[in-house]
Amino acid sequence: MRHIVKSLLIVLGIVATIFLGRHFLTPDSWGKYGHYRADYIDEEANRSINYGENDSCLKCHSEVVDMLKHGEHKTLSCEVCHSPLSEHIADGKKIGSMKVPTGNEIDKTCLNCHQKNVAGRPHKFPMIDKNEHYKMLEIRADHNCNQCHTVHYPKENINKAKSLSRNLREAVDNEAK
Amino acid sequence: MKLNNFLNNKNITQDVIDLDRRGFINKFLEGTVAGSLFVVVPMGAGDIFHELAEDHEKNLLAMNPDAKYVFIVDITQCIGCGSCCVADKKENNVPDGQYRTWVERYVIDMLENVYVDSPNGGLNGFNEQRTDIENEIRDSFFVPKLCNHCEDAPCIQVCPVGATFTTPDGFVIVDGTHCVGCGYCLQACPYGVRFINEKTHTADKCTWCYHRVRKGKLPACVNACPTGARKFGDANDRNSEVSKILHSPAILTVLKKDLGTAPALFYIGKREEVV
Ligand code: HEC
Ligand code: HEC
Ligand code: HEC
Ligand code: HEC
Repeated sequence: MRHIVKSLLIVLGIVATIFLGRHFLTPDSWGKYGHYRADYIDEEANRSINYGENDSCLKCHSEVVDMLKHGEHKTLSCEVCHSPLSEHIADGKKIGSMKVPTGNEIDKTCLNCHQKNVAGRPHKFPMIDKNEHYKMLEIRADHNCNQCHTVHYPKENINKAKSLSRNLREAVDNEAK
Repeated sequence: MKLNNFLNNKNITQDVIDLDRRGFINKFLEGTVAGSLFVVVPMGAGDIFHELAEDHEKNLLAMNPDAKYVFIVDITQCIGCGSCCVADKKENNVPDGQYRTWVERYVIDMLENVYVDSPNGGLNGFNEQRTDIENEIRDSFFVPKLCNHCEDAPCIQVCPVGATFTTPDGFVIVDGTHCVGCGYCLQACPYGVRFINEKTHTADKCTWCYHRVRKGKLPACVNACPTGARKFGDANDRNSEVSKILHSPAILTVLKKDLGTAPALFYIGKREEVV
């Protein structure tokens, strides 16, 4: 009799251990959708966002955002050239400085996209070779791209200059008539 | 693994295992013990011990199980600028030398030799022409790579502890709090997109920015791409850009189709040399 009770107790003990083990080792929400912890889905989804996108700069830098929107660089992301919003603003206040490329860093930034001598870029994309470009423009090699191209609107000044000289030419032509 | 040859990636799995063998074994055993318990006692929806946590964060969109999210990469538009890699690294705090997404440069010469490189994963762009190619170049293009979010994902099948899974809305994600860092999934992934995160010591990979999508935003790389080479959306939404492309005459292909993993990442303009 004793040995039956004993073995029953052992079996009971094993069953209890399994259920207790399951109780303590199984995370909440395990098996809700499948063989995984369902709560993790929302934990992952709740991770904070670092990139605010261009519209997030609008409130404080509307002129720059507006400029970018109207120029050839409208598809570019502010935060790729600068830094993510999360390193700059928290709760509506500035918490850190943005990276601002200067000097040759600017040329490097531009050439990342516009360098001609890199096989692989689609041919229709506007590309230049710095040496050729500068030779064509008859300028020294130590000039930086932003001295002529407004970074946020690369052809703004160039188009203005073009239309100015066109107007001048027309005015001269008209006077000659 | 071929990828390691040109990514500045070292063999991360091996490193982690060597660094902390005891920790690894402990963690792994814990995982298997827990794992086997789940097998012994099948888990069902009617869990007798726990009430399921139902409280969802207010700012999250509800999961949409009817959506079929797809990612489309248009190789013909990619200029290899690395904006996507920059955005991805900062958005997801990816450690240096590890990549959730990267850009490969393919150069094919007249003798059909194929050269592939990806300096620092394309993070700093491609500023130099390759100088080691003697023959005339026949074709050259950039191929952005990222997680394929396979419908039939091998990485999920091999996970011993159920730490990686497909969400009801179709994203393959990794539960870092549950992962034991065994590295099986790194071996199983045919696309080499997984790595053991140096900071967390758990498996990590591209999530298609699930945390942004559930807040109504595009993945960071898609937003950063200046040429529209990366597109993302719901293929079941007839008005979405991806649905329009999928129903257009454009030829869409996937990587390693024969493996039957059913990727949800499609390419436009993928040459047959791309693997
Ligand atoms: C192509 C890269 C690029 C992009 C895209 C870009 N910027 Fe800039 N930004 C620069 C550079 C380079 C400078 C500094 C040189 C200059 O202004 O000529 C600068 C300067 C600035 C400055 C002035 C900083 C100072 O100290 O003078 C602000 C503000 C700014 N950017 C905001 C923005 C915002 C907002 C956007 C998006 C709407 C944006 N930028 C997009 C490259 C970029
Ligand atoms: C809540 C307001 C606010 C928002 C939003 C904001 N900024 Fe700023 N930003 C500032 C202030 C304030 C300065 C400092 C201006 C000064 O010193 O003149 C600044 C300066 C900058 C500078 C110059 C470098 C520096 O850090 O001093 C850049 C570049 C810049 N912001 C880019 C951005 C970009 C890109 C975004 C969007 C992702 C953005 N900012 C969003 C308030 C803002
Ligand atoms: C992230 C990539 C990127 C960077 C960085 C970048 N650009 Fe651009 N740029 C573009 C794109 C995209 C266009 C639009 C091309 C098109 O219309 O097909 C463009 C257009 C231009 C154009 C007009 C070309 C034309 O003829 O229409 C000029 C000029 C230009 N960029 C100069 C610059 C300069 C100068 C810099 C550095 C301050 C720079 N870009 C940085 C992507 C970039
Ligand atoms: C001295 C002024 C000047 C400087 C400095 C300069 N550019 Fe230009 N760039 C121009 C002008 C002017 C044009 C317009 C040519 C035209 O439209 O005929 C131009 C055109 C371009 C274009 C468009 C080419 C095309 O095929 O449409 C790109 C891209 C460009 N520049 C990039 C750069 C980059 C990158 C740098 C820096 C390395 C740079 N530029 C420096 C004046 C300049």
